[in-house]
Amino acid sequence: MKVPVSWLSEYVDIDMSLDDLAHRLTMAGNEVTSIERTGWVDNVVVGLVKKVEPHPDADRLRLVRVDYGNGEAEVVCGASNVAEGQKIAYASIGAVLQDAYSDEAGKTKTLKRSKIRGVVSDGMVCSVRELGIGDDHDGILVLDESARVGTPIGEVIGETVLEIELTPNRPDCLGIVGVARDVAAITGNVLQEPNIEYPATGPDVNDLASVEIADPDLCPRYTASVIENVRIGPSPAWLQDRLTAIGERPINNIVDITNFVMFELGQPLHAFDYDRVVDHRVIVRRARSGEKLVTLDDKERTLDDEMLLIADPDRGIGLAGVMGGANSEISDSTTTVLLESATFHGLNNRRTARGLELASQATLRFEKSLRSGLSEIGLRRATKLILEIAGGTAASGIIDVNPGAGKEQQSVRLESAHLEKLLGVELERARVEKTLSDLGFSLNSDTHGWDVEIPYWRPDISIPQDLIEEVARIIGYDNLPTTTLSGRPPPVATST
Amino acid sequence: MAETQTGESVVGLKDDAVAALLVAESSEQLEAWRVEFLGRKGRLTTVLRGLGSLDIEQRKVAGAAANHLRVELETLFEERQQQAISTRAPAGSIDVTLPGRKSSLGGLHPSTQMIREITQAFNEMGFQTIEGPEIELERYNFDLLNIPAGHPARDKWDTIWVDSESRGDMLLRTHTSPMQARVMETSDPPVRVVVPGKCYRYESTDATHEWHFNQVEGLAVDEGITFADLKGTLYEFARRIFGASRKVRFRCDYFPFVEPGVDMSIDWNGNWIEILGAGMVHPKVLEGVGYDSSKYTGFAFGMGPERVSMLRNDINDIRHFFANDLRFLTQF
Repeated sequence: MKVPVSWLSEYVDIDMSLDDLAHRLTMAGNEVTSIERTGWVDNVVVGLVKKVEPHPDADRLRLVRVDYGNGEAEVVCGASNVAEGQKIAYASIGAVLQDAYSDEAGKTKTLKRSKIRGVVSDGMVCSVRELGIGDDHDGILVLDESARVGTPIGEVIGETVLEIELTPNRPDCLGIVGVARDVAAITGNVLQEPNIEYPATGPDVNDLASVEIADPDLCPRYTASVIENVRIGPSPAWLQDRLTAIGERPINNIVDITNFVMFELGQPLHAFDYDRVVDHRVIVRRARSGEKLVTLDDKERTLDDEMLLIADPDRGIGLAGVMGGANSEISDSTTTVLLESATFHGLNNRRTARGLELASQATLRFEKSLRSGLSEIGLRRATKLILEIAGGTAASGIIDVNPGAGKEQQSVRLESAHLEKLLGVELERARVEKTLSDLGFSLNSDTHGWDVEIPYWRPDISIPQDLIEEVARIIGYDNLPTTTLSGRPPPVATST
Repeated sequence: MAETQTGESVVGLKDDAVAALLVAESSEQLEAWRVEFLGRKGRLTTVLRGLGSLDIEQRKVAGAAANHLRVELETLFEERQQQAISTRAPAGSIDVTLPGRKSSLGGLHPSTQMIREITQAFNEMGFQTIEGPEIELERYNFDLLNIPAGHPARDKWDTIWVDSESRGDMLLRTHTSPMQARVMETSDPPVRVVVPGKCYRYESTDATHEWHFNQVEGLAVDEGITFADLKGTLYEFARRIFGASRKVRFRCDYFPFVEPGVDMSIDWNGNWIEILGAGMVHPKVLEGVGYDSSKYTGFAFGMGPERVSMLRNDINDIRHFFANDLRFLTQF
């Protein structure tokens, strides 16, 4: 899992060095295998374009006067988008930049003072490609106006990505917020949860669409919302940047938002073109043996009768929790979105994905048996972002078919004596309570221990030992005592 | 015509040759015999060359006979030669004072040496060494270890299944952990065992992965065994194997059959290298074998002796252990 530090910082303050943070996360069970920095290029700083003049001897070149904080430089520039007043990335002599004209990936060149058509160029104004943060080389990178002149470029465009090797019991950390919760517990800082409030000004959602779950054993909960009059288009830069930083390709604003929320909260979602769902009726049912569905990758899939299908009255429109159907996907002409956020049976989802050799980011999460509470949070978060980014009007209320209600375990009883018995040390009650609270657990305490509510993002918590591990891993195994085995060892068997 | 001649020649040739060989005594005589019958222009060679003029069916019969004879004569010749040498060697031509050829002594395989060292360390802490089957049932390898069929954690263990007509649940054990359940099923607490043995994985090999390798499993279950005991026992093990000054760390990790789960790493030239997985035995594992999980607790651990040996001996490729190259094996 790639965790860009700037994204992580949206939810929690990181007031320790990244090396320390990586160490603490690793000790707590989320092993940080690498810390990769991009956009940090020595000898490149934020510059201000003071003046742009034509080159005396070349029509397509300009002479650009750059204020770089410690002085000014005259640079010959070939980009057509350079303009006075811009904040740009100024590379001084000696900077090592990506060679934008080489086909060889990663090839660099060291910037030298040189004469271009008779004029000395004292440095360079850089493109995205030269800075090694993207492919674009059509023009120079124009920075936000707020960037301070003279600031090292890394502080403005630099990104640091933690690569975390997750264990299969922690699907919550397949969302950046899940990792942020661990960081909050480690640092003691407060987690800022993503905002999920939005104005629902449209008609009652139940007048627009309906959902029916025919096979509740495979789909304990299905939530949906409808957003009318959206504008499909490319995502804003911040959203594209977020996805690019974790290696995902931006597609269009709606699809990008569903992906973003999956990587933010760990809840996979799917957006249907509302007008392409027959009767606006969604039916969640097992496929008929041999039933066919063309998935988003334009491949026709033959299903068996243990695979869960999202259907309308006429046909399948998606393979539940694995991949959407091509017949109902978001296109440029989509005006109304039917947004799905559901909970599917983990083993069944995994079996379907394996059977069709269709490994997806959705299955990576669903196969770990997510809790149904997460689906509603994901739905509200994505609906809010769609309104903000693609406009439109959200229907009032959400569709929430919840046949699994009341069937999930809600709490775990933890006795303080049990904790002491297993760890071999008596921990202060306050410390136990703080550790669990920092991780987001709600506690009801009494003289012997605690009733701990299982939060919607932690499907891996079901027995007291799970909570004991939570306490131990955040305190740090290295900070717990060490004893030798006491008691008599069992008699040694004579050789047989 | 030609075929009869050749056919008769083979039989006659054999009689001549055998008779002549019996009277040849000296090495000169034997050599002369070899030239006459088996040499490049010898009588048998001539017969073999003549086969070319026969038609295909007859060539098959005669050719087989001639070739058979050639093998027979060569064998007889070698026997006779040996006989001649042994009967002829005059006393004193062998220097009986020369030292004898030393027969080379075998040694213990480096894996075996490391397994013995590891088990020895635990034996001295009261753990008994036991062994278990390499062909294992799915029930012990997975189900009783809280890894039911379809569990995403099964991805960690790429399994070689045994193709059996009678039952589909047999496999080559992917770890030594199934012995946890087997031991507890057959004995009451307290339990303290170490289990060395071979494991198998269906995976491609590289410098740090082999499709077969050894593990040493450990299990201690009793009343009152704590996480602190787990740490103390494994610290002591690390001290014995890697020395007292080696830094050791314990971090949280996940294995379905323990909770809390532990990864123990040691500091190796500034890098933390994981050398074993461990944890407090999961209550489901205890209950699966009929132990009362409210009364008994325990810890379990598993490690790869090849990996330990690689660290201690600066071996850069696990595949050396199983390549049977004496240049490698004799260094230990």
